[in-house]
Amino acid sequence: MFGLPGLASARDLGRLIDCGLEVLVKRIEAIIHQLREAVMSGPAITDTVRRRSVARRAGAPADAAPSVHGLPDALRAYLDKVAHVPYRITDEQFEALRGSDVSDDELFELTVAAALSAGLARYERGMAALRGGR
Amino acid sequence: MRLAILERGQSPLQRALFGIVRMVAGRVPGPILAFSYKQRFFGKHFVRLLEHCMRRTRHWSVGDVELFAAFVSKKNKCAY
Repeated sequence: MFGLPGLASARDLGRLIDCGLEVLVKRIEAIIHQLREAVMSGPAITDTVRRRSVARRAGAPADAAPSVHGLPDALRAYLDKVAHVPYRITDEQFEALRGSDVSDDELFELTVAAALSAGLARYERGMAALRGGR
Repeated sequence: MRLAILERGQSPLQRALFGIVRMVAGRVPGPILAFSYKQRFFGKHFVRLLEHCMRRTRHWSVGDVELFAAFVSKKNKCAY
């Protein structure tokens, strides 16, 4: 029907498309794994325990976020905004952080850890919904 | 507000490229700065991910994917 051997119906064509999409999703998830490893465990100024703690908090729902030991309040408030409402971060808030004990390198690394973790948590919830989970 | 470490560039080549972009466009776009700094930590892997998500799919056209991205960015109140 579609001029391809073994392809008899629209349902077969649909299966073929689903199969191609699954291959792409597997490739994407392999890259996500490498990205997560690099950000959470790769060489950086900020120690891995702090990066992972920040990531766990950012990936959790805002009302059930685990606390991060030893994180200054201003930095915690900033990273919560990065994870949930980044458009509410103000220049003043950012400038105040730069005047504190946090170095620019730490600020960059923790911002990436929080943003990545929050983004991947949203991606995983979306994929679970597509696959029929919650 | 931007981090000075991102604006400076990490190698002479990066600094030269940023200089050219500034001459042409006035400023280096934020995503380029973030992807360029400490590439092994973040940018290298993230750019690969972006390439696969935005350009490797055969199920949607580039225009379709750009439209999805613009829609999601708007929902997140993020400039695209």
